[in-house]
Amino acid sequence: METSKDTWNDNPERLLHKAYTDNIGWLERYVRRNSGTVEDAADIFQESISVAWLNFREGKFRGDAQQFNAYIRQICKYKWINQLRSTARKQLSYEADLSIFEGEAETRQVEESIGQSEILRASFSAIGEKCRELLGRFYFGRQSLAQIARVMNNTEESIKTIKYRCMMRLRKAYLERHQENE
Amino acid sequence: MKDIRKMSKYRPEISQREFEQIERYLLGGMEAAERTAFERRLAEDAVLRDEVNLQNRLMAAVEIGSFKRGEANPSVQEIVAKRRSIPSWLYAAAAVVLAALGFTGWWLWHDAPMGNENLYTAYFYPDPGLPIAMSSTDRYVFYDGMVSYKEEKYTEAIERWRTLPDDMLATDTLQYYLGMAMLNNGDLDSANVYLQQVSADEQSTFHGKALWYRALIHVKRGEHPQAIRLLETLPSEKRARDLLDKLRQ
Repeated sequence: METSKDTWNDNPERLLHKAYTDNIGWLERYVRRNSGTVEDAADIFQESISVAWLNFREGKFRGDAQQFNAYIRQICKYKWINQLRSTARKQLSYEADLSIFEGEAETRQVEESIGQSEILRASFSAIGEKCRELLGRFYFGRQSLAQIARVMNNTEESIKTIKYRCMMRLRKAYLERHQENE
Repeated sequence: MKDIRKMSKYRPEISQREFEQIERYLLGGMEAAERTAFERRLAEDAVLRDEVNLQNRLMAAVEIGSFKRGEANPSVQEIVAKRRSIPSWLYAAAAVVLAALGFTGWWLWHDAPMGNENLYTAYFYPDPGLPIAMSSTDRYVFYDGMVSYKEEKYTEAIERWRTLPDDMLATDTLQYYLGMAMLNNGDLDSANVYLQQVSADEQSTFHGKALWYRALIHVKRGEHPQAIRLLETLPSEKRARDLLDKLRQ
């Protein structure tokens, strides 16, 4: 996990699940100690891993797997404290201090990444189930075109073209949402 | 809907050729010479640079979106418990649909008698594996093995699963997928042992599937009477009825 480019060839499915298993137990304990539930922890984790992963892929986070876990936990804490502040539960006690990140710049960058990851999530949701499945198999599961063609009952050449069209659909969905938020 | 052309530094669309070139770069699929030339272009061309960054971000969106979708899946124990509560023939029916959609479907309409190997190849469709999220070490190992399985690295999957504690190895889920990994590796004898145990458990949701693959093992070995006996226990499966017809010809 040294740099983004070095790990593009790693299986993202494996890396993400490793991040999940390394951190979900800690987060559940943390949230429960601080006025939340296991369900809250699950939601916070989903949002936080999205932000961390996006920054990792874009080279804004650099470090090894251990540092990546620490980074995820920082974001989890930041998001949970923000959530507590914005709800009726804010009067309840929580153990963490509020200066999760070093300085305003880093906090601002995480805030921007939270916004970006929400736009990306909405864009991916908008491209239709077939496209989500195909793209997920290729980029997330790292299945070959031949494997996907076999499972989706099509030719490799067609799958290649459909993949391109699906990515263009995702690109369009993202750009529209991105501009609306600018 | 906003007009992207008027508001964006990005082009409304890029060609398939350009997209695939960028994808090859991001996924590490370029040879050294092509990469060097591409990176030289990147240094000089801001539009291309923006596009590479955009594609990078979209790929991350797919990864995280797919992970989120996978996250909704239950744990191994939940899957085993849930599957036990669902009639196995529902899964069998789903498997029939899957098989009907598969590449091998056209063989079903082919009347000419086929050899054992051809019949096996025509009807064999590897189980695609389970998409599961894990939260404990054991679950992680199981999941890790499942990723290897889906990558068609069956030996690696078997090795990972074999490190699991005995009580997990004894579940019908593990027995079934160990058997399937061995079958995909061409180890028919070992596969048959594992699948036999699963097919003996009528309550298992893998019961019908295990019977089906055991029948295919017999077909491959040329043991048609044994294959027919097993297929006759799967009367509601179209693929089983079709294969029975072929074997009886």
